[in-house]
Amino acid sequence: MRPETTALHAALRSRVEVVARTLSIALPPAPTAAEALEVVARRVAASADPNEIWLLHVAITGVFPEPDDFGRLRRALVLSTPATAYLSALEGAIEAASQVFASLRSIEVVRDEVLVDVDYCARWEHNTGIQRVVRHTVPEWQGREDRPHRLVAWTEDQTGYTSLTERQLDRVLHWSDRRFPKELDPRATNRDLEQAALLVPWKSTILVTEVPADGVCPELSALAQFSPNRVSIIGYDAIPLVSADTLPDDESERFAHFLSFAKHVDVIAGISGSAADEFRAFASMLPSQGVEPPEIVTVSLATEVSSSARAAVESVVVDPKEPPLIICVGSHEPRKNQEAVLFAAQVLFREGLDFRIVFVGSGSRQNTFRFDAKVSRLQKEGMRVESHRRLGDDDLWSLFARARFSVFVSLHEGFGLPVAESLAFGTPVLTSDFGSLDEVASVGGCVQVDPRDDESIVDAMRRLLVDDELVSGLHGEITEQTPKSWGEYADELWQSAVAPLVRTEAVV
Amino acid sequence: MPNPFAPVLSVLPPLGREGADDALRAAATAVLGNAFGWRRTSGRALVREVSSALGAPDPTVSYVFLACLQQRIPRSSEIVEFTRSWRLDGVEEPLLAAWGSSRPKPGVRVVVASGVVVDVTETGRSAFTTGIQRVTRESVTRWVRDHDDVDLVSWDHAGARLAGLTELEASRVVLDADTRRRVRRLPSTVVVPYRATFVLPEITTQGRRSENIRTIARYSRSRAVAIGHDCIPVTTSETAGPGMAGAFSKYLAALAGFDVVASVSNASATEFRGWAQMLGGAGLSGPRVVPVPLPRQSAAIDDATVARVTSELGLDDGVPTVLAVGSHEPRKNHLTLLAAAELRWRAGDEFHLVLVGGNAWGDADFTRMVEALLAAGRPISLLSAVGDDTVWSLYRIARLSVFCSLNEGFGLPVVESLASGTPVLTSDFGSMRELGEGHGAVLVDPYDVHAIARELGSLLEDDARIETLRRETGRLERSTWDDYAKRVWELVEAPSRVSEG
Repeated sequence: MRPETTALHAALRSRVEVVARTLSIALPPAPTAAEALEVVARRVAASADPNEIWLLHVAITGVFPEPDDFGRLRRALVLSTPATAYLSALEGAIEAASQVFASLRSIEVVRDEVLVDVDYCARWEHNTGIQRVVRHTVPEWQGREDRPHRLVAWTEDQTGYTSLTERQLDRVLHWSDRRFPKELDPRATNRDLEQAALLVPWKSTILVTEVPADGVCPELSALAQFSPNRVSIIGYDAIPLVSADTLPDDESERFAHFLSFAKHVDVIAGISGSAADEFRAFASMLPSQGVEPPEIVTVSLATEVSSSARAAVESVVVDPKEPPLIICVGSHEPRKNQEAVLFAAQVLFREGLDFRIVFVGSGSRQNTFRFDAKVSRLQKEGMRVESHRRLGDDDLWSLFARARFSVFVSLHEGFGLPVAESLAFGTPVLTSDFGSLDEVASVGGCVQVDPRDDESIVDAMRRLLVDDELVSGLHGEITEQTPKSWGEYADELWQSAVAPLVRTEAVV
Repeated sequence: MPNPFAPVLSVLPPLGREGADDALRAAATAVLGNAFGWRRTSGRALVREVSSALGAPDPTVSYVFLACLQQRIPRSSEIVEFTRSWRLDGVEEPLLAAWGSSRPKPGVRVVVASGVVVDVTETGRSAFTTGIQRVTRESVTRWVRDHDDVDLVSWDHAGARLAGLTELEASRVVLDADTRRRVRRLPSTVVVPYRATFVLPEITTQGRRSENIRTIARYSRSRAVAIGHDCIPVTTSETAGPGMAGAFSKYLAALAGFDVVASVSNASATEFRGWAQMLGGAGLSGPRVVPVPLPRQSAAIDDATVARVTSELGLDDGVPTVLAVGSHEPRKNHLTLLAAAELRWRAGDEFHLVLVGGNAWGDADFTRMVEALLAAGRPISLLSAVGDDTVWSLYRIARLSVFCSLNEGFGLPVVESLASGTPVLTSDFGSMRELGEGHGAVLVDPYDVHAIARELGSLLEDDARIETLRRETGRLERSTWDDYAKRVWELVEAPSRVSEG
């Protein structure tokens, strides 16, 4: 036999042996790959247990099945006889196996544990909304005996879980205190992919902390439906479906793929009451397709800002002779409604009010081009207006410190971090009167408007500019607030989305 | 002064603006009425005269003027910008700019429509009959027959302009010639709904059309009513073709501004209500969802036709027939049916399996499996593009039908089978359960191949059980398309809610 073939046989035999041990199937002494698979396939075909079929697929192919892959293997086994189970199993898995480099993979079954999926944060140097949540939360669980878990990411070809490398751990756990240089991992070669060591959860609990990549949604969906694992996810928002008019089609498309996984999970932890309500409403659609809806819980995000940021803001001395400053922070896209804020500012400028307004936030050229052109026109008219696409932390904090108030009149948010941040810096906010923004504003320090009504934005901004009593009242409300910490969020998330799913026999 | 239209205005020739003037008059007449006698002036004087008659900034008025002057539904960003410019500088400046850049096609007339406007674009273009198109044709034909002031409209291929139907489109939408004569002909027109009742009986998956329907629902101060079929592309995207879920999300975003969705079943209402509830996160209230179940009608087929179809298809050998109607897309779950049937054949059961339905997205596994079973000598017949007579005959011929779909808004094959007196094996949830339970259906978990095989075996063997189920089909309430069209029309006609809060 050629050495390559010998290696393939050895890898297959080793994976099948792992499965045999997991399923307590006795194998003949020192079996060949074929002998081992013969025994295991016969037993799985006889049991017809979806959990076992899912695991058998991983053993034969070295990849987690998509629902279609699973269906093919299951049909092949359903239509097999004890004598043909072995061939049917190979036949039912050949299509999935032939599309990947996975034949030399090894598998480790991770039984009765907690796996925390941090795929994107582990592999990419990018840090906005979701990544900030993950990189604040997961480190809170490190070294805690009462929070035992493993961090996992997907193989680069998105076909199975692996453990994190040192560099990947660094990206997740030490974002603001890195041990390694900030550079991307080298791309995996086919050889790397072929030899990957997979972690295969079995009767375990998986917490998916991010909105998973489009490419792994089918695998996760099959895992949630057919494997004996329990799955929790963080539910960030349903913006790509509910506010599809503000986004390109492909974002809505990807979100629908995510939903076809999300509908099969056990728990969805919404990042606000409003986000939880959106997922609850989605769950209420599921009986029409015979799917048992997930349990929806609310675990509201933290509202604290870092102590260094707070100190920086508090150290700024504001010159009372400066004209009042309005800031509007957030990525630049139609949903965030910056155009309406600029219009309101223009009206107030025409009315003769003296103020300076600063927009901060990056955006695609398509979204910012016209806005920036309008800003320069208004500057020429003598209006004090600026638009910054990139701004360092220090400059941003200095703006928060100087601002009379901030404006965040978005049309739809999962949480509304800019509102929470502004309040944590002690700056009053003008925000929207519904959804998660209404929720985050309910602690006080905010004026709320219908963001689709230009005139109400104009009126509110005018009041906030001229009414000192109103502003000092808002400051008073802010002083009494205690922001929620990331430690609290991490605790609540574990208690609501992980602990209830951990099998009791695993705890004992 | 900042004005997006200003650069265009400066290069305009002063003369030859009759088309733009007419468009302006049409808008002014719709918004302000005829009392002002818009024919007395023209050109810039007309713009000034109209401007001075307009009151406070109003996005709906912006919509009407932009739509008439541009001969298309304006983008919502254009409406917002026009209205903001109106607020800052008065209406004359943006109106003059819009008038100046107006280039109406010669001979094309703008019609501001304030009656019932029914969008039948896809149905008018397609010679096929999907479930949605069938509902559209049956309903619209009756609405045109029974009511005056119903205009049928269709979008151009870009999805930018609404126009009256062509003869060909009308012949595809309205089922009988007498009624077709009642359709108001609107040749060479651009239709602008304003204070109208806009009705969408089909769905839209074309981006610009969806966006414009959203604009109409939001800005035209019209009542908007849709027939809601299902939300499957977003709730069951694993069964939808590539691109469908994204495009369907835009359709739902358009429906968000509608007043009423008449859903085709209670199960479909469950989906639409859940979606409408999701809108709360964006501060929107969404439409009222009212279930109006589709009719349960069968066609009368004479015995001679049934006998002819039986022999033509070789089903006259005394072996019972199992019928499955539905396209070969994965959602219809034909793969599980084939596996269950194979288990029965292996167990020694004899039956014909007749599958009626066309090729579809994602049917490679299905095709392969059918080929393998045929090669093994299994009696499977694949029929597609067959006439109604054949389908209705097959329902009569079959001992039972199978429809174990994974998700349906309605499930016409369930109703068609039961209305024909033929028991159906169908899924134990959603609309299929709703239609079938207690009416001659056997309910089963469509994911469980052994359960399907078990019930199939029992139904093939147990004559008494089939007889009982046949009797039960008599309990299905036989409603008609007339009933259905009337009930939806009541929702179309109902006055707008007095206050939107």
